[in-house]
Amino acid sequence: MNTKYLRTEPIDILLRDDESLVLLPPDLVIRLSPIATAIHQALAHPMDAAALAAVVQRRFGSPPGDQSAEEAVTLMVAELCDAGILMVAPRD
Amino acid sequence: MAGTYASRVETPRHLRLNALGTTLSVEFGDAVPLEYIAVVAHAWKRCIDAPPPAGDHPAAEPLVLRQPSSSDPDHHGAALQQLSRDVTLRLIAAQTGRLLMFHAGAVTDPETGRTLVFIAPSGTGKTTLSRTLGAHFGYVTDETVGIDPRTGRIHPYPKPLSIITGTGRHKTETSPDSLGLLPHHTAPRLANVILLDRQPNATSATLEPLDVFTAIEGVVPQSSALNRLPRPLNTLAELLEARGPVHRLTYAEASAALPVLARLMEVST
Repeated sequence: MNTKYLRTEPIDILLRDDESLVLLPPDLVIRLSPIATAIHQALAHPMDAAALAAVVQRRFGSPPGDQSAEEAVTLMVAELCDAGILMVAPRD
Repeated sequence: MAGTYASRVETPRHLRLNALGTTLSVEFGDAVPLEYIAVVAHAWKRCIDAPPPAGDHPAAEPLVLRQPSSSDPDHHGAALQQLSRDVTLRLIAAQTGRLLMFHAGAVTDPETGRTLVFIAPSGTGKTTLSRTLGAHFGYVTDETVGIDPRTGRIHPYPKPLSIITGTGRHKTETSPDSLGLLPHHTAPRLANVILLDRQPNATSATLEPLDVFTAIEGVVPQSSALNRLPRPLNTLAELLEARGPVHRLTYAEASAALPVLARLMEVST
């Protein structure tokens, strides 16, 4: 089974245009780019990297260079997990 | 001096401080010298003389001081600084979940109530700037600013200022009256927020407008109990966006910042 991801529960989210600020406990504020914001919004429900890449690709197109959308999304998801924005979703 | 200010003490061993939109009772045990209480009453005179907050307001947890402080004035400094810290913590605790609170100084236009709030970490120039600006505008606080998020009303906290005196390195909690600082407007309201960026090598004082995300990224680390307010980021953004951009002030000396901030006070709405 593919790993699914889910966003952690923020205290608050501020959206302006395509960007967002996320406030995590106790008072850590993190600025998300438009792509990170789209990922964060999509992961209100568990999703694996392939499904997430499809969401991002539909909205932002393919990444430049040889990197696939899934590879690029996987890297970004790892960074967001490290920052405490996302987590691996519990298995059903 | 002790006799002069002892008369302002509600009872000889009880002070009531009205600040940050709440009231804090300070009681002194029998072992605390009256001379020390008189020094406290002098330093905190503006909070003692302030009217009690109107309407519904929280009560701060009373502060009880049992430890004797030496009657030698040279030894009052550390006790007064600790008292300032304890008072601030209790006021913040009382207003948690009610006010937006920042580590900040503030001054107000004595006639209009427009208030500049300048945010910075401890030890980076808030008190010096408060002292400089407070000689020209009403002194609101040098430590903690509390703002009603619905209205932008600011609840003053005109505490004593920690000032380095003489040639020593010790700080003295000094009454704003002793420093000649002007009293604040009776109903200060937020006009503009400034993030302080003190750069010793800056050749002039400059203001740079910030987008709301950059502003909030700078403001949040200097907030108190922000996460206890409902929708804190959105509440903060709405308050800031309604009052024009937050500015970053880069400066070396408070004297150079004065004319820049005076102009900002004039154009603020």
